[in-house]
Amino acid sequence: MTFLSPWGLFWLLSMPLLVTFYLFRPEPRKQKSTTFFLWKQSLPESQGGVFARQLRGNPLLWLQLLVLILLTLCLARPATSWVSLVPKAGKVVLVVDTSASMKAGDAFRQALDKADLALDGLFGGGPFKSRPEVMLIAVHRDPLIVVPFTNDVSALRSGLDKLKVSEVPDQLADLRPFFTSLIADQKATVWLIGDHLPKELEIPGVQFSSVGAPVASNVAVAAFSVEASAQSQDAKPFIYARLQNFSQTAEQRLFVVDRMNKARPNVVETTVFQKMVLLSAESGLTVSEPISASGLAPDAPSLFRLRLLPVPGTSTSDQETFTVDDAAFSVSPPFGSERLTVALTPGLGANFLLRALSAVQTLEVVEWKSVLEHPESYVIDLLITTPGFTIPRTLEVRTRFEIIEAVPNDDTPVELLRASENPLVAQTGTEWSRLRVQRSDKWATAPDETTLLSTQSGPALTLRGVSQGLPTLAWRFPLSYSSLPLSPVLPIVVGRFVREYSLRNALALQGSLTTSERRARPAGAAWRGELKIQATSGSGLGANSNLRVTSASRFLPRLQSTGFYEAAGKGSSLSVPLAVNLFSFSESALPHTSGDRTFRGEAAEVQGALATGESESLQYRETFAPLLILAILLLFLEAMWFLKRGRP
Amino acid sequence: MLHLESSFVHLLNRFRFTPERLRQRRRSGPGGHLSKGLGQSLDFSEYRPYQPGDDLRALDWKVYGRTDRLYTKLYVPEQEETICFLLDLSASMAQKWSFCQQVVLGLATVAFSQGDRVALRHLPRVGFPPSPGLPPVRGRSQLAHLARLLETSKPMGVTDLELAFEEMAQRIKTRTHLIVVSDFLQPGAGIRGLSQLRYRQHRLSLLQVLSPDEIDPEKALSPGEWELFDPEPDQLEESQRVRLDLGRSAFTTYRKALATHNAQIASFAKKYQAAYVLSDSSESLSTYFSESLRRGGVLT
Repeated sequence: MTFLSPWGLFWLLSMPLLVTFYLFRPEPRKQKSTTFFLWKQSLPESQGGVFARQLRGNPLLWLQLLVLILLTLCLARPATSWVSLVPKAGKVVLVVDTSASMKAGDAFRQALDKADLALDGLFGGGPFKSRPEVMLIAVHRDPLIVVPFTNDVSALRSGLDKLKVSEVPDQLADLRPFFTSLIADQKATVWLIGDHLPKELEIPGVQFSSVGAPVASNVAVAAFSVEASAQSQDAKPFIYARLQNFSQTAEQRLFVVDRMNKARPNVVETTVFQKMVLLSAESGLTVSEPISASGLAPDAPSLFRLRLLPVPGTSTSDQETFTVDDAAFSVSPPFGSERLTVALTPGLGANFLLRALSAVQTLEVVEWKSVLEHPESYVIDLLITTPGFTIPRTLEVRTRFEIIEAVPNDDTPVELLRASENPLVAQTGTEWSRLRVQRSDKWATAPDETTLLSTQSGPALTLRGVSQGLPTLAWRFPLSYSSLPLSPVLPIVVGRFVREYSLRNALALQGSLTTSERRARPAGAAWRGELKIQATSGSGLGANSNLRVTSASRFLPRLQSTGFYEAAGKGSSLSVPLAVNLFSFSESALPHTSGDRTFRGEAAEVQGALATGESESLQYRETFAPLLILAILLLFLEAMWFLKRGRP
Repeated sequence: MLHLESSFVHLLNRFRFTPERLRQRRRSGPGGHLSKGLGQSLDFSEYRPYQPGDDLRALDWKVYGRTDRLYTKLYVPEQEETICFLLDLSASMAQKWSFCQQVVLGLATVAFSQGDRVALRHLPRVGFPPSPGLPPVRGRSQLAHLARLLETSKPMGVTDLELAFEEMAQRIKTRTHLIVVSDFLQPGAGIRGLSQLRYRQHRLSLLQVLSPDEIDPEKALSPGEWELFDPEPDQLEESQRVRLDLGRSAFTTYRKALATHNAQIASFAKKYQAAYVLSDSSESLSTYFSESLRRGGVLT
């Protein structure tokens, strides 16, 4: 509670005047009365004479003092205050969740209604004294600007009408940098309308309007991949998935794996696997099942989607529409590939990489000497070399890895948070400890670097300018964010990228992964380096792009979920196809929370933010109306008193 | 000089005091009031079969001629009455005094016209010498004397009604029609004194005259704080003052208190068969005589 016009409190000084008026009020009028005895015996004598008695016994005085206090408070304009990031300029970003989970019940319709009401509130008064500028963004996997900043209500409403629910799960947790930039740079308030709010987005300046029924259970996909069998060449492809049940009750779900159309990742081509799974309360479940290889393209990557659906007939919801608890995507290498022929140039200690690749891919490692001595042209799927190594012309290298020495003094602090109690077990028998590793500081980006993929830890994938007409991509692994299995020995991160990037482009992967429990000390010096994947031969695999990213793109830089992408440099007709196979799973986003929330922040916190120039202003809501109503009631009471009892 | 309008005097000729069957008293002359016993007068009462000892002059010979039976005619005896006005001359009557003068003069006119004797006494006041008043007199010629007496009387001082009535009860020995003209505005309204008068077999008519301000104080007192004091004591002592916050509720309370006070008087009058008339001093005399006094049973 604060006062917007504290000078109004000086009216309290009039209280002594009122008391003085009562003390020294004029003498009563004198009158002879022949009915004196009647007056005297029927009415109490007024309190006169002694000051204290006069004041104490005069309820009208107290009533008037109370009215005076209330009116003074009204003049001082009492207001409840909170520190808000509501912009001075009145910019509001209306974000509507259009992910697949919004299909549940009537959530999407509710979201549209709420957005409509929000527009009413924004343009019909509210805390904004002038018409605010509102931007409408739809978000499922990536934020999409539907209507840029405008104060044209009709444009915003028509934008709302165009919104549709997508088939992909939301990645709201990753929106934190995006929201932060909106709040800090655009000085805007982010108004998110969705069915849940990840903890990452509980930041000052974000307002959340909840729609849909509260989430009854929290079942998520922790890991998912569809791979060719590593055991034998004839073995069928298998599905590997790790499911996690965060609710306190056992949950039964329909485990459905669909193969999606690569060109249109929202379209299901066929369902390749379906199974009922029972998840114990607060525990995980590893699903490792073979699937039929029929129908799978032998020489092209495939895109799979895993959905966890409620068991038909058990849903408590009256709505017939299905509810997706969680979904995950996986890009798989061509199932027709037999084994990966890998060769290492002499003097290169890259056994760690070979072990990593062997965990997910059948490898045939050939010695460099035998390669040179081979009489015919030798095809090597992966050649791991030192930088600048010249490949003999007799070799046909499909993919080239360059192992570069670690950057000196790159002691990026890395912190091990905890090890998962439920290790992930692949079909190969390899047990992966899921370690949550978190960088203590954020990656810095170069001035010419455009962030394509942002995570909580910083940019994960950036575009580093264009060289010879080709863009250079830099990849930073968001450790705390990824659910990629990390081995105590070696992180496995690159296996599936090999064929996708073995074209003609160079993709720089930068990282400083560590699985050591010791802080800031990597397990192997060799790993702390730069790994280059360089395309050496072959033609494009025809990876389909469903998203065109340019350096001028501002709100579409996120490639955080599995799928096919194409990155292109500014002014270049060439582009880089990307296949990203990451899981969006973030434990911190679960269990889901619902309910409208506004994150205004503590005053001290946001004042600090103000001091650092982040944003914004104090917000007030005047609360004098109840006081005024009370004062009016008391005045009415006093008038009634006056009419009944006479002059005060 | 105090006088009545001639038109009003003509009106007064229509009225007579409500008769009361008074006991025949030997010394009483014939008056306008019918005695409770049977006697000689011009007013025929009834026939009665002749009894030995009846006056033969009272035999109705015409009836004897027709019926061959002797009947004696009986007459209602007429008796004069002394009407004594007891005037309250306290200071509280000042506002209503003019009205009271006219009322007394008018009633005296009626009394004289029906042959009654009229007397006037002032209720004794504290610190004032006893006023001689007017002894019982008869005849219209005494009206001027009565008017002069009323004119020279000025309401002032304090009258303790209870003591005054008790004193009157001791002074007036013969049975008299006492017409008390007062505002009765004292605690108890002097009822205990009136009881003494009634105990002496006097016929009582209580004429309570109140001013409009007394009936409705809102006409004189605006809402607010007032310091009221009793007008009857000449010295304004502190104990005779009262400081009041007057508002609507106060006026309502006052009206209830006044009604309760008047109800005491009315209750007494009903209990002891006394006439009681409450009037407003702003009322017109003709209305007062033709309606209020007749309705109160004082005049017919």
